[in-house]
This record gives sequence, structure tokens and C-alpha cells, in this order.
Amino acid sequence: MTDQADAQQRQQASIAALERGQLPLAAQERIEEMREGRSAWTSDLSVAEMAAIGHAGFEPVGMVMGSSVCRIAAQWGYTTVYGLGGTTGGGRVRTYPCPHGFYGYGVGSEHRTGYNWEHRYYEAGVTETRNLALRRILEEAQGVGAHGVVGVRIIKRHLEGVGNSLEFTCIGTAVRRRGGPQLRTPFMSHLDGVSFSKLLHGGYVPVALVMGIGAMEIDPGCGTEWQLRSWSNSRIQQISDGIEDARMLGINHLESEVATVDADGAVGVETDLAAYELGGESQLIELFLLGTAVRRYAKEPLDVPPLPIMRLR
Amino acid sequence: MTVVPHPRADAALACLAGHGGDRHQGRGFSSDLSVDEAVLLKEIGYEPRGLVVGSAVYHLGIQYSNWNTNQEMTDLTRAMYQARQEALAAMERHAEQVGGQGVVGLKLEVQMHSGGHPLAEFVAMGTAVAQPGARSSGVWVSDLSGQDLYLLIRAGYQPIGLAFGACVYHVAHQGMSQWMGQQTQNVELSNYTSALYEARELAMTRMQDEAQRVRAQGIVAMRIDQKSHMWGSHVIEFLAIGTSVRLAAAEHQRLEPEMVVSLDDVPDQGAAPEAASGDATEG
Repeated sequence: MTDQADAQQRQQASIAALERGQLPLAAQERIEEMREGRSAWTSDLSVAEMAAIGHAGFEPVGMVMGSSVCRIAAQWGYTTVYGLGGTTGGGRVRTYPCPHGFYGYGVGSEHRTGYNWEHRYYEAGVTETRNLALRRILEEAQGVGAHGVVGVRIIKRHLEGVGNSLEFTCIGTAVRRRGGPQLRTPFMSHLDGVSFSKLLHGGYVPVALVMGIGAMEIDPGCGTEWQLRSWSNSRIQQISDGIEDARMLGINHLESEVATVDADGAVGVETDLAAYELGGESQLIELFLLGTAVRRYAKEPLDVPPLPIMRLR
Repeated sequence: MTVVPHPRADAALACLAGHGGDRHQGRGFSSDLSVDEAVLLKEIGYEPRGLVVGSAVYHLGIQYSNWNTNQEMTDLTRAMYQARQEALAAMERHAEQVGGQGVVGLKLEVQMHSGGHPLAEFVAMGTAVAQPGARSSGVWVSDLSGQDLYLLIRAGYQPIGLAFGACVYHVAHQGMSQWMGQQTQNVELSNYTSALYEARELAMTRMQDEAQRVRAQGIVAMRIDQKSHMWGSHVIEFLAIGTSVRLAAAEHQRLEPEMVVSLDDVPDQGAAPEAASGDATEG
């Protein structure tokens, strides 16, 4: 058999494995090699991180990753043609009627109703893509017999513009404690090795990577547009609401994920607010939050209280 | 290979495996605290309650100003101040909802949204914290980090709230004859100097008035931000902002720091000048 046919067959087998819910062939072989200890362990830890992880009683096992590319379903939105709205997927909606009392004039008319509405399908699509990637990295971590993964980096990008396909990839270093109890699900953290060690000494243990997403479309009504064209300093209620709702949805989703993994809270949450133009005056506001969920295992303070120092250089 | 005993690592894994642990009471929180901050706040008895935000989007129109006079742009000052107040008030309401007694690590930012309109989003964001069992009236807000708050409280002080004052000022353009007359000399542009002085003083006075209103003893970590936002180089906003504090203990507690000299090359931790961008922060 030629090399090319061989490669093609491997690719077919990988796709079939993914569809069965398994890892692609290359990943399976890498895990197998690491588990048997045939290869040297790999890690992207710095020397300081290595030392800190050792200080916390853990050792590196190897680099693990999980990745997925998904198509995000389209969501039919509110129509402003007749001033009447309807959306698939439910979610939060706010209405901004024409302040001059006109009702139901169409696109291109001076008067129309504005809508802020939540893109439920979009949120669910991003979450689903993330779930697949997370499941794969956890599977790899379990495969190499790790207790957890630290320093997880996230790559999240839209491949064909917003609302089409989305790549979600996470890469980190698997660690284990020799002789430690087996965990049903390995822990995950986006914190680096040094922070992991400090967290552990401070009485917290990472549980899982948690995410929150809030996506609101702002479709301005005539009231908002008139305000935008004015010369005065004024608060724009519709846009303020849209951004605040996106933030609140993101935080609420994050906190409900914290509850799902039975953690006490999330630390080191990174927030990313993006606005995408959707044509016309509409825009999609997306708030993306990522953090490490932690549990407090000990209430007592640090073994040694932090020493105040004054640096003389 | 023998396993080195490590009580903390074993306790942590036991907690993950589902046996015990000294867990938080109440709802799960989100926080943008770093690990260092979370650990230090725990040392002084604070628990995070949640990430809290407030925002206000303002359309900033332009105010007519005289080309050759120094003057405060009172409409813009009012808008910039009011927008921040609204964002802060929304954040405080959110903090109360999640049971916070204070907010640490406040970031109060202005983000310009483009798209053809002079739109500015004022965002207030921080982590709500609380001392379980402690009584509190109202929510204090501070832009101090967890580390600074730890030191402040160990030194015997308590934060009372944020103090800030704003002033948007128009600096006069020079007349042609003046400009011609000065081409061959090095001279102080005294109208420029005095305009910057006055604007800065106005912002600072307003901040101090706010602190006095809540009977603070002082303001720590105060800074003056000086930005032109979207108005061109002759219209400048001065924002004086800091955390007002009061002594909670009978007197200042000495921390007795240990002096250390590092044998490594310590990277220069002094504030790097940000003059390149045209916007400056003074400490």
C-alpha cells in the first residue's frame, strides 16, 4: 500500500474514532506511549513551576490536550419590520418602543422599535464546543493516570467569522501525586504551576475549568439612533442595558458552572468583551469569562504567615 | 520510590475525592482575584462573594469652547463624573445582592466604542468580599489590590470607600502674534502651565471633598490620570482617584519588615513612564 493511501486510511480511522466519541489515533498512540513510560515526559512548565509543583507534592506526567471544531447554529432573530418580535431559543429580551408614539413602521422608516435579545443558540454552541474539548483533555489526563492538569491554555477562535464555525482547544500539563487516591474526574486549572502551589498551600484545591458566556444582540430602535446623532451628553439606555445584560448573563453562567462542579467559587477569572458588527446598526456583544473553580479544603491559615520584607535591591 | 508525606496535598486530594474539606458556606462565587490575593484575603478573614460589575454607556457630545481661553468644560465634567457614579452605583447594588461588604481590586475604566459615534462605556468591576459573621452597613469600594488591602488592614486601618474627582479642561490655543514672538526663544508657556495647574487642583479638591464627606482620615494610593479621550490635545480630563481610609485600631500597627538584599538581578520595579502614548499617570 502506498504512503498516501496509508495516510488516508489513518485519517478515516481518526474521523470514525471521533464520531464514536473516542480520541483521534495520533492522540491515542501518544497517551499509550506516555502511560507505558516509553517516552520522556513532556511539559511546558518553567523551572520555577516544576519546583513549585514538587513543593506542593505533585510531579509532572506529560502534556495533554483536547480540541474541537463545531458549527454554531444560526438563530432567527427579532424582526423589526412590523415592530413585532419573535425569536427561536427563548432567552432574555428587552424592547425599546419608539419614544414618539409611532408603532409598527418598517425598516428604513424613521420610527421603529429597538430590541435587545439573547443569542441562546450561540451561547449553547460555544458551550457545547468547549464541552467536547474539555472531555477530550480529561480523557487524555485519565489515560496517563494523572490527578489533574495545570497551566491550561485556551484557544478560542471563530474560523469563518462570528456565528459560523468555532475552534476550541485546551492544552496543559498533567500532574499526579504518587500514591494519591484515584479521582473520578481529574482537576483542571488555567493557573500556572507556581499559582497552583500557592493555592494549595493557601487551603484551596482546583476542581475544574469553568466558563461563562453572555451574548446579546443590540438592534437599536429609533429612540437610540436619535440619541446617537444628538450633540448632547447623555446616557444611552439601550446599549448600557445590552452590555450589562451580557455581563450579567456571563457571570450567572459561570457561577452556575461553579455550582455544577460542586466548587466553592472561581478564582483568576479572565473576562473578554467583544463586539461584532452584524450589519445595519445591529451588533452582537459577547462576554466570555474563564476561571478555575476551587474548593476550600482547609480553613486554617498558612503554615507560616507571610513575612513582610523590604527590598534593598 | 518512596512517597514524601505531604499533609496539604493529601488533604486536597481527599477533598476532591469527596471526603470532607472545610468548605465555604453559601453560594458559589466568581472572582477576578489572583491566587495571591485570594490566599492573602483568606489570611485576614475575608471570603470572596462574587465578581461584580456596573456599566453606563454615554454619548459624549462636544461642548463649544473658546479657542483662546482656559476654561473648565463643565458639561463634560458633569457627564464624566455622573457616568462613573452610575457605573459604581450599579456595581454596588450588584455587590449587595451577592452579600458583599466591600469590593476590592476595583477597575474603573472608560472604553471608547467606535462605529461612528462618540460612545464611551464606563465600567466598574471588582470582586465583592465579606467577613463571615461581621456586621456591616453599606458596601465599601476600593481600588486597592488584595495585597495592599492585606497590608492596610494589618497596619490597623480600614478602607471606607472610593474618593474621586474629575475635571475636563480646555487649554487655550495661543494667538498668532504670541506664537510669532516666541519662535526664537525658550520661554515658559505660562497659560499652559497655569491651565494644567488649575485643572489638576480642581480634580484633587473634589476628591478631597468626597473623602471629607465620609469622614476619612486620609486617601491612600491616590493617582491622577490625565487623558484626552476623544477630544484632541487641547481638551484634557484630569481624574484624581484613591481609597479613603480611617484608623480602626488605637494606633498605627508596625509591620516590622525584614530587610532583604537580593543577590539576583532584580528587574526594575519602578513605574515605567507612559509618556509615549501621550496619556500619563502620575503617582
